Amino acid sequence: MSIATTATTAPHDEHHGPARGLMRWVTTTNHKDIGTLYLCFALAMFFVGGIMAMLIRAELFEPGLQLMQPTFFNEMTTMHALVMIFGAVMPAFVGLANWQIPMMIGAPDMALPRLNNWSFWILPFAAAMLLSTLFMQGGGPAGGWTMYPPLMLQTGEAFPFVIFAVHLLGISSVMGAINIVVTIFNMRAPGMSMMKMPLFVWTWLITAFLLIAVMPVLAGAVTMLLTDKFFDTSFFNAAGGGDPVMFQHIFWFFGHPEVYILILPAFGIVSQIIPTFARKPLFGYSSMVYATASIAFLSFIVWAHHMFTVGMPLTAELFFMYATMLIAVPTGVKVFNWVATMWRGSLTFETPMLFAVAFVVLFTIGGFSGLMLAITPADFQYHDTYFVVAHFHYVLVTGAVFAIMGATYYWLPKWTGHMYNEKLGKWHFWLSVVFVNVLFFPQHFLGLAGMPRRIPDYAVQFADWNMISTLGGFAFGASQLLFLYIVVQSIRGGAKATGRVWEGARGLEWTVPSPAPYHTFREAPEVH
Amino acid sequence: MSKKGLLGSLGAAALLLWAGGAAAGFGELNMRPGVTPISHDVYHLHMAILWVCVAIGVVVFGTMFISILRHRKSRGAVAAQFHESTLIEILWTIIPFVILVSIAIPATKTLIAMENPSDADLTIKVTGYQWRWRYDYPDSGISFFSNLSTPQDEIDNKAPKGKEYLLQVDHPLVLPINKKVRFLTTGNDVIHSWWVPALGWKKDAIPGYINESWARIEKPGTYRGQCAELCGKGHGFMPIVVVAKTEADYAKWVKEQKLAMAQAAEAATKTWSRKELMAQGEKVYTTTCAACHQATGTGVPGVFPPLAAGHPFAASDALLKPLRERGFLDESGKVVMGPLEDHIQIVLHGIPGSAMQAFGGQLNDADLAAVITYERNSFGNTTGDVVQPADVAAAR
Amino acid sequence: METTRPSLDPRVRRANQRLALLLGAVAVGLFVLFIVLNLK
Repeated sequence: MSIATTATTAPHDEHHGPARGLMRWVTTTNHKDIGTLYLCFALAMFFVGGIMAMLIRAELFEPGLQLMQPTFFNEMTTMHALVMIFGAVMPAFVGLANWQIPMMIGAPDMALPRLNNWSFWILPFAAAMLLSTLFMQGGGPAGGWTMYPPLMLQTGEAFPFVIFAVHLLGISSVMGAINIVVTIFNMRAPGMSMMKMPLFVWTWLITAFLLIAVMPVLAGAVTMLLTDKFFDTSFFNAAGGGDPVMFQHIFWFFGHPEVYILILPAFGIVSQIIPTFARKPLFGYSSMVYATASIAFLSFIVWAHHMFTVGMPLTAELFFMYATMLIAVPTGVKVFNWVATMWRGSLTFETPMLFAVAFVVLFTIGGFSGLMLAITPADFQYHDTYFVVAHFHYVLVTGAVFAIMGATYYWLPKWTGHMYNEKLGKWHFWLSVVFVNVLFFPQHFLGLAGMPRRIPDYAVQFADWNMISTLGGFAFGASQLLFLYIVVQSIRGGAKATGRVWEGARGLEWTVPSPAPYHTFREAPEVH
Repeated sequence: MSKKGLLGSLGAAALLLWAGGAAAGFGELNMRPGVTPISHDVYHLHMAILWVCVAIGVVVFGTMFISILRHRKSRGAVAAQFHESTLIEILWTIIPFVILVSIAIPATKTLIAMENPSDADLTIKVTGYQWRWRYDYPDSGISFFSNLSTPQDEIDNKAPKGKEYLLQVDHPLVLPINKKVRFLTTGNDVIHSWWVPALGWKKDAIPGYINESWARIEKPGTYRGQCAELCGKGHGFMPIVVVAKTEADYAKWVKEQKLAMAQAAEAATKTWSRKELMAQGEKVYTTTCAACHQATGTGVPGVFPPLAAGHPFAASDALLKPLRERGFLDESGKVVMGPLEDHIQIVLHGIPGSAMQAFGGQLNDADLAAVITYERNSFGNTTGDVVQPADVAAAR
Repeated sequence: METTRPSLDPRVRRANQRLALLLGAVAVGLFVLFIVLNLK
């Protein structure tokens, strides 16, 4: 690889640059190297999860069972979600954090570089273990990524390995989050006050707190599943005096903040990209910070909106409806602020900006279906249907994933020193944005028309939209190969990138050369 | 490419989908109002919030669109430098908040009405099983299972699919119109969810819980729904069919059911011929046992044991031990037809800790006798055993 | 381990490690809490 091998020009240079060969990647404590590792891992997992999605859509192309048995279909839906959430999106955001946060705050590296290395290397091990369950007797987990008991306890040999994998993935995330909090608190360059930090740093700081707060809760929940199966406890077994719904409460107490963990860094990315290509400062910086913090606080008191149909008391249903509707307010504020940033700017639409603008439109559509889902009596019709599937794919794919792709295009020249191929980038964007909508928009109709989730076969009135959705899925999936090509091509060569890269780019990371030297800001910069 | 393209092509794509859909008969695009007062309220709430979202979308996306067109650098736009306004932040916080309150009020009213099952005219108990529903009418003593009746050939693409593919059952739930029906919903094994869109709601069926809900159906007709909580391999194959009848027709149906139950009770005391047992046994086997043990009796390797003697079965020790102990697995790991009394016990009481349910509470003596006779004389098994309903009754 | 990372002021390193331990303790504590709260 040719990333970041330039020696620094610091006066007391006793360093030799990175180690050579494979061991460089195994033992590195450098935030840029570790960022690269996370991003490559995430990209690979994106394709693994994507293939599972293609298998799902292939089976759903027509009514009837053509390609697989229902059990394998359930394994695919379960694993697709686990891989995409824990293998693709979260590691990608951590990779972006690793690369960008130290440079953005003028720090020489992350606060705990060795912890950083361990945080990463747990991931390939955990992912391999999780994927290996597909080949075990009884197959992989098939109870949904939400793992509800009693169904989850019917998992075969794979069960303890799934639990262990979830534990490891959680530990990696928590260690990474601790590193990020400590780095941001303790290692900012002098003059970089909290309210001067780039929004990407703010959103990651808040995300890191969410991670520390809720990943242990998930760990607790799956540990109790484990003991229920193997050690005769009855946490979730009604016959033993326990409560299956309690699992759902605990899971979603993790699960709801988790979805904000999956989107807040995306908000930060978009808040970096739009001002750059509008050549205008972000509108309402402090509002954006407060809105993000409000979203994070509120995210702890809405969890039961994932469980409106379990039979909660009326008061609880009303409370969670009101709290969930409330979260729409700070989220809307952020959307308005992005639009206000664009307003009367001087706009150009290079690939990162295309993804950021598409994010604002399509994430907002996902937000609208989310608002509809918040209305409890209406949710009784939407819950566990394709309407929910459409909602979360809009916020996660056209939301989080588009933000990650936009960030990649935005920062690739800084990482590699080469401009990526802008024409191909635009092709990737347009193909993606059209086909992702062909894939997911019809799923709103399917849900409203009555199609439940997680079924391998369906009634004939759902056939036509399913066929369209599948065609969109194949085309969207194929378009991502273009992304892979563009990224690899830009690592290997391309037009030379300047330090600033983008005319409107502001921030410390743009004051260092491209590619960024292996060590940056070994002397703290001056911040005004 | 011109930046009109972005929003333009999104709009075009959406329009195309919509128009193409309507033209090609793409099924429904929207929720339907349903047949109960609650389902109507829910439909109206849904439409209200949908229009609110469309309106907000038009304003926000319209503003973006104008900006994309007018404030492009290529058009000579020079960036302004304003970047905050406390007044605007307050306004666009308060105004959405007020809009939300205006939706929350009718939503609260509807929810309060939904969560009030008092003064019901009729109570129905709904129990979710892997993978079918059971309905009990406590007032009349009627009780039956409701199984998917779509032929396997249609699912396997060997026969053309009917209009009610995957939404048809052998015994629908029959209800009277214009009566407040209270539903008590629970689960037998894992969490299921009972959902008929025309009624306007769904309710989870949770083992150890009893959930209450209600509906007053306004129109006679047939209303179809599906299980709405992942419950294993048969999740997509346990539909719900509600047949709503006028009060007179409903009363007639109740009488017919009671008569049929009396006849079945009689059948349990008589002596059945081997032919009758095998015929009935095959029916029961196909509906109740074949999902796991397969139509061929060969099971699923590692998960569900074969019933055909001579077939091997390898699985975890926890699964093999009970089979070995009761004489259904020999030392070489092959299935054998063990003693008849043990076979009856296994079917009656299940195998605790495994997926083999206790069917004693689910099937009557005649059906149990028939299915055990069938199993012991099919798939290559030749025990010659003939089990009478009285034998099963005695073994309970 | 690779030895080319920049050296850090020992006070900063200690502050980093202390904060990290505190946050780690919070994580572990939450894990234990959620299990203990569910014991009967």
